[in-house]
This record gives sequence, C-alpha cells and structure tokens, in this order.
Amino acid sequence: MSEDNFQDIKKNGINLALDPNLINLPLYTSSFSPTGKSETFTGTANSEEADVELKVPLDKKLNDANTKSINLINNPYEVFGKLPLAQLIPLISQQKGPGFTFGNLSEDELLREIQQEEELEKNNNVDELIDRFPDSNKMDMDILPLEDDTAKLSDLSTTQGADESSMDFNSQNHELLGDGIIAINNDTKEFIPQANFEQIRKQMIDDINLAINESSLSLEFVSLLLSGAREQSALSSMSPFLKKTVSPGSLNSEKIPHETKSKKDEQMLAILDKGWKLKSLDDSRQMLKENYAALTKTLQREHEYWRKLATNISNKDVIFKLRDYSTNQRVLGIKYGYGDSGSTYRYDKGIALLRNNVETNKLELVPTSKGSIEHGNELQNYERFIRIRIYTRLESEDDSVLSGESSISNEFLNNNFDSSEKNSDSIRSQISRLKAFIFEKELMHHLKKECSELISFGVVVENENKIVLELSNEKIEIDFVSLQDPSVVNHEQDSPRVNDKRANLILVTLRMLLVVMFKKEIRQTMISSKRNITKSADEILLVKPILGKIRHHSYKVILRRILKDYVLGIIPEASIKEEAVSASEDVNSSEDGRKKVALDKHIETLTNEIEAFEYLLELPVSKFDITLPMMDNKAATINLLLKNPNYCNAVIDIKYLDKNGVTIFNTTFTEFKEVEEFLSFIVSEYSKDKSSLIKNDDIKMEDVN
Amino acid sequence: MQSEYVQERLASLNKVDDKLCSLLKEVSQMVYTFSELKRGNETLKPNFNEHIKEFFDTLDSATSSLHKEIELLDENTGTRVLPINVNKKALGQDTEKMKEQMQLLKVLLQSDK
Amino acid sequence: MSNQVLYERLGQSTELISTKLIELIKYSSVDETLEENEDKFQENSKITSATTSILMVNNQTTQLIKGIQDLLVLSRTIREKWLLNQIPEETTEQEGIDKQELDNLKELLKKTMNEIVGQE
Repeated sequence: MSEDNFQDIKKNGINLALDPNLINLPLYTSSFSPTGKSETFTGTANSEEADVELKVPLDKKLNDANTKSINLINNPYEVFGKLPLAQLIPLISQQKGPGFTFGNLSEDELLREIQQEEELEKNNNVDELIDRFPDSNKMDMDILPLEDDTAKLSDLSTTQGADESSMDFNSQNHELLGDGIIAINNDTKEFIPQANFEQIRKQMIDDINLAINESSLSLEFVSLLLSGAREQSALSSMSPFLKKTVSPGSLNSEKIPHETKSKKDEQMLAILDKGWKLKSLDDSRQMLKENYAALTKTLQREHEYWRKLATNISNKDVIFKLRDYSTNQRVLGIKYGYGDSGSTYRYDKGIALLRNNVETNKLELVPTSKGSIEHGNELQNYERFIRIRIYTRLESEDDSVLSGESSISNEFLNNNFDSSEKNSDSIRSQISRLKAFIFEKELMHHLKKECSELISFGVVVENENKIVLELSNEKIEIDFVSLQDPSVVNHEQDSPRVNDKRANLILVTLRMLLVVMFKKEIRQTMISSKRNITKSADEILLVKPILGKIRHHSYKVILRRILKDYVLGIIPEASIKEEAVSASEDVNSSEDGRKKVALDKHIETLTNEIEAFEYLLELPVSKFDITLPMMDNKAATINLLLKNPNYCNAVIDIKYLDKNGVTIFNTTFTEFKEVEEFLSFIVSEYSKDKSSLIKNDDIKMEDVN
Repeated sequence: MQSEYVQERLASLNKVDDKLCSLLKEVSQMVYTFSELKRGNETLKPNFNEHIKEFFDTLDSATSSLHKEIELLDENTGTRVLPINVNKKALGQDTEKMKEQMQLLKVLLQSDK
Repeated sequence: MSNQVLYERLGQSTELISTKLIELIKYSSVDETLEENEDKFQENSKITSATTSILMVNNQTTQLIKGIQDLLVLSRTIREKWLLNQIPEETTEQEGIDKQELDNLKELLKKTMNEIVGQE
C-alpha cells in the first residue's frame, strides 16, 4: 500500500489539498532578491547558506517553512539537504565510520547497504522508531545532534517504503518521511522548488560571470604579453579599453634561467658580505667617534658660554636673540643703551653681541653701530669721551694758558693689554664701559645741537668734536676726544692744575643735566604717551644753565661796578643790598596746587628728582635794592632786577620809587651802557629832588626865623 | 648673577648634555666590540653586554632628567619665567647714572684739589 | 615653543635613538647560523651587500647621531627659556633716588655752582 502510494506520488505529484505543508507555498515572484530569499508567509524559508548543491525535494522546503511555525514535523533532511557539500561530506564520513573515504561511495554499494538495513529493521517495532524521534515536537529548529541525525538518516533510508504504513502516530510525518527520500538516487525524480531553482540559476549566472571575468582578464594579460612579440594578433585580441590605457609592448616576460650559484660563488659572496659588514661597522664606529669628539668640544664651549652668562648677567639685563650679520649666526645680544630710560638718541642703538671669543676664551661684547664694526678707525671713533679744558686768559700776552683739565674716569682707561685681568675680563665691566661711551656720545651730540644756537653768547662749535665757550677772562673747551689721542695718553703724567676741580665739576654737572633730560623724557612719555624724539635746541638744557650762571655772575659784577661808580660814587649815603631771587618762592602757591594732583608713584619719583635740579635749571635772577636816603627818614629806592631769560642774556629792570613809594620810572634795559646812562639820570633826578627839598627846608627855616 | 634656582637648573641641564654626549661614546664602543665579536674574538662578549647596558642606562637617565626639567619649566612658567617672548625694557639706567655722578660729585667737592 | 611640544620631541628623539641602534645591529648581522627568520638578509650579489652596508653606516649611524643632537637642542631650548624669559624681580632699588639723597643733592649742586662760578 505504501509503495502504491509512493508510486502514485511519483506519478501524480503531491495531492495539494491534503498536504498541510502546501498551505505555506511560497509566493512566486518574478524577480529574485540577490540573496536568493523568496517571500513566504513565514519569511524564513531560504535564509540558510546560499550554496545548495544537492537537489532538494519540494517537500523538504515546505517542511522547512512549515516546521518553524507548526513544529509538528521534524525532518532531518531539510537540515542535511541544505548543508553544503563541504559539510555534508565529513558528516557522511563520520557516519560511515573510520576507514571510509568519500570517494569510495558508489551507487551499488549504497543500494546494497540499504537492502541490508531494510532486512535488519524489518522486525523492529514502530515504537523504536518513535523513540528515535524524540524531539519531533521540539520548538526550536536548531541543528539536531549529529549522532541522532546520522542514525535517523540510516534508519530512514531503510524504512522508507516498508514502514510507511506502520508509522501511524503521525500521518503527516509518515507521508513526509516517506517522501523525504534523499536524492542521491539517480532514479528518483528530483523536485526543485521554484525559489531554489531561481537561486541556483542566479548562482550559476554569477559563477559564469565570474568565470567570464577571470578568463577575459587572463586573455588581456596574455594579449598584452603577446603584444610585445606579435603586435597584430595581440591588438586584435585586446579590448578597446586596454588598447587605450596601455601601450602595446609594455608588458614582457622573460624566462630567466635560474642560475644556482656554485658553492664557491656562494662562499665568496658570503665572505664579501661579511667583509663589507665589518668594514661598515668600523666606519660607523669611526663616524661616531669623530662626532663624539666634535660634540664634546662644542659642548664644552657652549657650557662655558652659558656659565659665564649665568654668572654675569643679572635678572635685570635685557638679553635677546639676534642674528649676527657678519658671521650669519644667531647670537645673544644685550641692550646697554639708555634708549629705554629716556634717551632719544637715534644714531646708536645701544645693543651689543655677546660673542664667544675663541682665542682668548673670554666673553666679549661687540657693540653694533650703524654699519659694521671694524678694527682700527671705527674702534677709535667709538671710544671717545668728553674732556673739558679751561684756559685762563692772560691779560698781558693776549693768550691763554691751560689752567685746568678734567680727568678721565677710570672706566675709560680700559686697556686690553692691561695686566689686570679683572677689568677686561668681566662682562659687567665691559657693559659699564660701553654704557659710559654711549652716554658720552649722546652728550656730545646734544651739546653740539644746543650750542648751535648760542653763538651770540660766545659759544662756538669749532668742529664736530670741539666746542669752545668764550668768557671774559677764560676759555672753556669741550672736546670729544678718543682714547688714542696723544694728549690723552700723556695726560697721566701731567701734574694737577688749578682749575682741574672746576673742570671736573663742570663735566659732572653736564652729565647730570643730561640724565635730568632723560628723566623729563620718561615723565613726558608716562604722562602723555607722546614722544618728542628730536629736541629743539631750546629744550636742551646742558650748557645753558652752567653758562647762564657764570654769565649771571659776571653781569652781577658789572652791575656792582656800575652801581658803585654811578650811584655810590656820587651819593655816598646810599646803601646797596643785593639779593638772589629764586624762582621757587614765586611759585609757592602753585606748588601746593600741583601736589594735590594724585600721580603715579613713578611719575612722582621722577618729578621729585627733577625738582632737585631746580636750582640749576631755574633762570638766575638777582635783585639790587639801592636806598637813597632823603630827609625825614624817607628814602627813594632804585630796584634793579637782573634776569637771564635765556640763561645767557641779560635783562635789567630798573624801577625808581621816590620817597613816597610812588613809582616814577620803570624800564627795562638789555645793554649796560644804557643802564649806566639811566642810572646817572636817576641820580641826577634824585639830587635835584634832594636839593629842592633841602631848599624848601631852608626856606622854611628862614621863615621861621 | 642669576638666582640660585636658575643656576641649579642650568647645572642640571649641563649634566644632561654631558650624558647625551657620552651616549655617543658608548655607541662607538659598542660598535667596536660588536665588530670584534663578529671577527670571532669572543673575549669581548661581557664588554659588549656591559656597553649595551650602560648605553641604555644613560639614555634612560638623560631622558628622565630632561623630562623632569620640562616639568619644572612648566611649573615655573607662571612665576619665574614668561611663557612667551616679550621685549624687555632696560629701565633704571638713568637713575644708575645719576647715582654714579652724584658719587663723583661728592668726592670732588670733598677733595681739596 | 610650548612645553607640550617639548615633551613630544623628547619622546620622539628617545625612540629614534633606541630604534636606530637596534637597526644598526640588525643590519650588520652576518651570522649564517641564524635560522630562517626574517632577520636574515640575503645577499645575492656584491652590489646588494655593499649597498646594505653603506646604507647601514650612513642611515642608521647618522640618524642615531641626529637623535642625540635633537635631544641636545632640546636641552638648549630649555636653557634659553630660562635665561631669556625671566621675569625680573621686583626690587626696591628701582624706586629711584630717595628724598634724603635728593636734598643732599640740592646742597651739592649749590656748592658745585658756586665753585664753578665763584672763581670769577
């Protein structure tokens, strides 16, 4: 009966209405998705491996779809059917046991085995069969354990037809089990579900495409190779793309005979190799050693440099990196000039390079001025300082004698060949030396500028290094001499002179006045942030205060003489009182006003310092009061005010008050001659007054009588 | 004079430099012994090991010192050292000069030349 | 140069030195008893052996030296930073000339001028 059934099925196919699996027939779509999945109700059908190499019965596929949801059927074939050949073979080998190779599998043998097992199992119970399917109701569809499956496989193959009828516990199972004949048998009709078919077809197409690709690539390769030899045949076989991109004949291959080296050759090579390696190791060592030596030397030098720097340069010095233009290296430089402290000198930046002098192994400062520094003239030009000479005029000879000379400060006397190492070696002394020089240079520059305007007062700028002040009995020379000047060199041997002190004092005062100028500049910058770089001659107050005081003094002398001659000489009873008027007294009121303004601490300091020089910087003023006694203890007074509005010129105010304090005359003169005349005029006036008064008295007295 | 701290730092940097330089020496010695070994002179094997060990020791200590120095520099960036390059101004020169000349003045006025 | 950069450079140079040294040794291996591992460099001709050796010398050695020089440059950078970028200490000397000195100065100046002028 079962066999009939089976034959029926073979002839007619499955009765659709009866087969529950057919409820889940997959929908046939015309297009296959790339992964080979077809849409099913459950949507799970063909999600296994792509390579299905065995022809799978339709039922198996349906089972697959079915059991996932219903789980009534448990068909090991669906698992095995989907397994790729690579996995199936080991399974089969395992099943068959050791000593079996897949190659030995043949149709006849399998048929024989099946028949054997059929006879074995003929007498077995259905129950055994049931026992062998313990997990038919399992929910999950995991791959069943191997042993069970292989057992089932063998069992099922034996019980295929005969036991179909006896497996009544589950009719569906039976049918399906019966139907699930493995398709190793050639005679069985092979049912391939549409989805599978599509997938297989797609697979085939892909494989063929791949094959086409590979073969065309190989063809290209070969034709390219060929193009070197036979161009025509190659060109005809190359693809147009290749023709365009690669020029023919560009690929070639040769057969190179493999030359096995003789032992001797190999040995020689090895020796050569060793030799080269050893030599190169030696070279390397040599190189390293040389480098090491050079590096140590450099390091030593550098360490010295840094050590000297560290010991000599303090926190406050301004050091920065420069590029030395003469050696085109990078060096450190130090700013020693007064540029940040109020100087406005443009001609020298005040920067020096801290260079390491290799020969002397000392650190030296090389100042950079405009243009490069060369030895010889330039150095001479740089090392100049100011010297003041006073010449006293000799009346008799109409000539002057050098009566005083300022001394050279110690800092300048820095001979490089001096035995005292301390002076020339230390950086600090070099720095201070350079500072002094640049100061002197700037001082001279300002002096020259100032004195250009003072020509009417006897100040002559003779050449760029000399200024002469002419006074009544003296001549003061300001020289800007270099250290190598012979007069300087011999100075040490001269004996001290009378006016040395004065000369020195003048020099020191000049310097201090320059510092005051600096301070004013700083204050100006701090207050208004406006820098007045070029100072006009009026603003430079160096010579003027000193000269002014000197001239004022001489004016006073002249005035005294005039007064003596013209007033006292005539009126012996007159008394003269002389007084110096300091400007600060007049400014008292405004000073308080000034102090009320809150100033920055630094500005205040600066102001205080500048004020200390008030005495020097103020315009010299002197007052002369002459009392001319008249009768009745009343007196007429002559007030003379000697002013130097420009430090050097003289302006004389004369006021004449009569006995009642009424101002009769008030005039200003600039010439002494005029002063003389006016005074004589006043005296005559006074005498006239006095005599008239006396006359009146006499008349009065006569009247009384 | 630089402050003590800075001088210390410079001294330690000096040491680092010396170490680095000695590295070169080490390597050259190492290469020498190595080549000697290759020539078959096996006696220098312990020397070779020693050199290698010394080399790596020195390298290690030098780099760790440098690392420390950088750390210190980092620490002090806010306090002693400026993090950027700024142009410093040389102030105070004028006051210095003034004081100097004042000194001279005093001396001059006191002496009775 | 920021400190981060310094750290990086330090790491790089150290690495450089150590690796170059190792390479130097490797390249110069002539031991034929070495197993067939990657470290054995086959020399097939005179040229290759010569080139390898010269390469070894010039490349490895110079890079080793360069690595050390880099570290030295690093230390010098630190030095420069210390010396050049210092914040000057605040001292009270910068206050300028104090009051008393100034008064003193006034006196001195008066005397000076008298001297200069007085001999007239």
